[in-house]
Amino acid sequence: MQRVFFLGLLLLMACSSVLPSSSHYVLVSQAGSSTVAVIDPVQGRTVKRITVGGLPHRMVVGPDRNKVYVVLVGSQAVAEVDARTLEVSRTFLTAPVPERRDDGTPIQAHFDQDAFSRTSCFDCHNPGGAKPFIVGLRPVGIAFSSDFGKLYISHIRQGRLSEIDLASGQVVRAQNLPPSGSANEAADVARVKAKLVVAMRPRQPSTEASAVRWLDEQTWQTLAEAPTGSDPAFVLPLEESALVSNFESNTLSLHAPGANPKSFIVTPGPLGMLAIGNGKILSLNYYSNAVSWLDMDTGQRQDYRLEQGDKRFVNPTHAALSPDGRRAYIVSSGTEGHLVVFDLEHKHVAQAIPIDGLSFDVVVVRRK
Amino acid sequence: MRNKLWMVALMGLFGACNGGDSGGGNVAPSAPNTVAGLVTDIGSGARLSGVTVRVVGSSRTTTTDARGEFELRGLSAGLVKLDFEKAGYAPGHGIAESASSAQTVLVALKKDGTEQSYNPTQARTLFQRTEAGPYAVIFQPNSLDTTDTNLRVVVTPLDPTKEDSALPGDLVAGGASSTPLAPVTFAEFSILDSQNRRINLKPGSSAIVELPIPPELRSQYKIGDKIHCYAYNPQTGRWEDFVEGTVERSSVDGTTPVLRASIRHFSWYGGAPAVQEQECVDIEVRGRDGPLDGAVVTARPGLRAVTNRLGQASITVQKGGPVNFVATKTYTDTFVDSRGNLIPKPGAKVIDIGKVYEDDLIGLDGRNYSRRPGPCPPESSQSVRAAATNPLPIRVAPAPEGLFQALALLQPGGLAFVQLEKGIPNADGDLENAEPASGAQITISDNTGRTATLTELAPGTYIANSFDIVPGRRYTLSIDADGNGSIDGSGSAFAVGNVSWSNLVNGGSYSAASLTATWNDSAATQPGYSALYQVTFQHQGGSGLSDFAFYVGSELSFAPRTQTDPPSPLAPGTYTVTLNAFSGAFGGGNLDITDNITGVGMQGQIFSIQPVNPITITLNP
Repeated sequence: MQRVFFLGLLLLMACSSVLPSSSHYVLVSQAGSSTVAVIDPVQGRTVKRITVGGLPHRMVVGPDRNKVYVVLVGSQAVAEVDARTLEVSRTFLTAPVPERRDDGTPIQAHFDQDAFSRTSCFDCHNPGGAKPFIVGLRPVGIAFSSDFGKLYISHIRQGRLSEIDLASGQVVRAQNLPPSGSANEAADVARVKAKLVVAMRPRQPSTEASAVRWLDEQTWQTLAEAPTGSDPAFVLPLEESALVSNFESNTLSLHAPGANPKSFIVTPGPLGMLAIGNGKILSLNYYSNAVSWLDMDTGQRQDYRLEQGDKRFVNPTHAALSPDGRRAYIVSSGTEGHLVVFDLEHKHVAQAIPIDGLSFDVVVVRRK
Repeated sequence: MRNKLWMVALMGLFGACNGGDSGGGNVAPSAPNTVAGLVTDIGSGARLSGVTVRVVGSSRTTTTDARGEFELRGLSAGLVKLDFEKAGYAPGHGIAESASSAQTVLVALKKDGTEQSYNPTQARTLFQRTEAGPYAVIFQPNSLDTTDTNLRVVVTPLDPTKEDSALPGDLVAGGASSTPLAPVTFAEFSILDSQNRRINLKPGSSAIVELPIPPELRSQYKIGDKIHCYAYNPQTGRWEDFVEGTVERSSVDGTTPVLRASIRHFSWYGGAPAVQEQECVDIEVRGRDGPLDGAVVTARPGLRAVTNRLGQASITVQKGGPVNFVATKTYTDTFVDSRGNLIPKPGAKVIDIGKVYEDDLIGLDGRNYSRRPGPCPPESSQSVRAAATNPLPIRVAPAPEGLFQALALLQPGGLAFVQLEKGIPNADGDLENAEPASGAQITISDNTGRTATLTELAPGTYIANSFDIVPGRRYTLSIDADGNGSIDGSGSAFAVGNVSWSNLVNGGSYSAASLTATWNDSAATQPGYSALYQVTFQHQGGSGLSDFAFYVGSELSFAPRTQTDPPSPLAPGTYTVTLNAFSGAFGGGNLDITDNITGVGMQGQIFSIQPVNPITITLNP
């Protein structure tokens, strides 16, 4: 009888033991649900959902990897997520709360509720709160300053570029960038050494020319500008140059100040890009449900559809590298969302973890 | 034992008879992994026979029978994606659950838009005009994946405020907390070559589409707003390729607010932002004998729930917005074999349907049902939850046989009048051998909560006594055409406002060169109101192109010009000027009055007309 009890206890312990877990978490911005999902890739599930604000899109990880900054396209703000506690520690406005509407009439509710003291429009414009839900100048792009003490934010509306001091959380500089032809939306910003790279595009949909503009990081003086493909979506900073994905013209273009851009054709709908070492780039091709593996030195390219068995993973947007560099975590952002784990060695989908539909960006943080 | 078997067999027989005659169905378990369905015309409500039904990803096909119904048995468990095809209709798609009991998919097909020829080597804008405005597709040269230069393009518009049941797939962003997508404007784009094969864009190529914002939604979506757009992928059964479109002025007419977006794959396409404010609605589905277990309740495409043993289900909907709820219950008849086993009888089924349009609830039973902050809890916890205290009742009954047709006139300042007929639909969905339909239960309600039941004045003729039609109010008709307790069709329209000339008076004199005629409509500022105005200037005694000017449109002004090329100011003289206002549904190049009373087995038109007394004016040089 005693042996039976012991065996039963062992079985019970085996069943209830703590599941193996990963050394890192994967964070995914889930634009449709105002959250960031915290995913344990070993358990293969979302272990936490952090409400951050309206339409969370791009994310960047701080240099010490303790902070993640999430651009809230719908709330005119950036959320700072503490990677240790997995909580929102602060939010910053990326542009001032307006006193008046476009037609000049005052927004009385902003005065009545002292909206000017808020640090995110999500405080009031949230599900069940003030309407409309999506407000502001649509911040989209994000980059750190050279000293990592500031964030540069590009906005779709007004082609605005803002600089946020991370110590104070205040916008310390802002400028509406002059358009380049009809390209008047600042679709993304990145930093290459002491230069900023801004992708300017016309209001979409459009097949008109877009441009990549180089600015001096300190003065924001224009240093150079070159045409790029239609609808530039993302700027990937490289050592001395920047790679731009041109969503509508199915190309990646390599830009360096003063040089003619070099173009690489990929499968339709390039959006996010991931540097995977040795001059290789993984291009996430939204419309073709595939990734392109591009060798920028040779120009050679291989394409891989995101499939596992008869399951297709559609609309890849962004990717992040696992700490060991062997896997890419790819956001499949259809109405049925998945975090696709792509084996970079064997070049196939190894795992797919359900996430919310309409998710967007992904970063990796250490598990504390 | 023998007695027991006999009793079971008798019960099965009773069940089969009961199901066939009244739709009460039998109590035997439905066939597992069976999907049954009913395919109708979204415009007429007519049952559609001969529709090819394909199971996506397999070779299984079937065809709808003379009643527009089909049944697929022995399917794999899980979601089943179905394609529906019938000549003259835009492709339809449906999703059903293959589960332990038979389930129903209701599919409404929409008639194709007008076919237009296109040579793909050329840049071209093709459009289909409707009451909401022009639906357009803008092609770049050589962007289509074909060498055929004789293509046909069909743009089939769909206004989701009225026709969301024809939308394919689930308009939901899935995940741990599924987010409904609120349909704004949609269309289906079919491009066919000389061999009748579907053509699409070359990989990497795109086109621009423009889809009008429905008048009811224009107050929500302003010029410059961004709306997420999706293309339906029949292979995955999902809405994919979401990109931002922008609300802009139509490039076709320069005035209609349209959603303009880039498209990469021609299929069903449209705009549907994520619903931020959700509510949970408790539903109770009842048949003739009480609450029904296993009934499927659908709100919008993708918002679906199955009733529990209490006949109740909870369904997540958009907060604030009116929702059309549809409930179905499928019975597959059974017989008892020699061993006493209940065996499904192939091909035998009864589909009960009930609909509740939330707009119709004003003043009616169920108006006080509760909505809770949403989303609803997961289904796993719904099965054990307590009975809802105030659920929205949906009564289901067999869909009517044949086809009912209603013609409803709202006379501003007068009465509401409905003429109801019943007949057999022909191949075009029109009635043949129509006879007056007696015994219908028809209610009318307005947007202030007033309601009335119409009385039958003569066979098939119904009138609302003591219910004045107030100009500028929105009226909804709910029609139980066969009087069996379930609403078979409904529709709504605004009564035309008080319309009058603002700058023209009878006997007045005006400059032909500088005249712009303007008029007022007291309802013009009502959200969702979009009247059609017809204006004519006819030279008294004249009959030439220089003597006549006309306008048909939704603006409140018009500069009269001759019908010559180029147009010029009208010739001086005395003119009779007419002004008519129309409120209802219309479409096509000839602005035909189209159906806006819809349902299963039900079609019709509800509209309002106000003629303004003709005036005589003099135009001077």
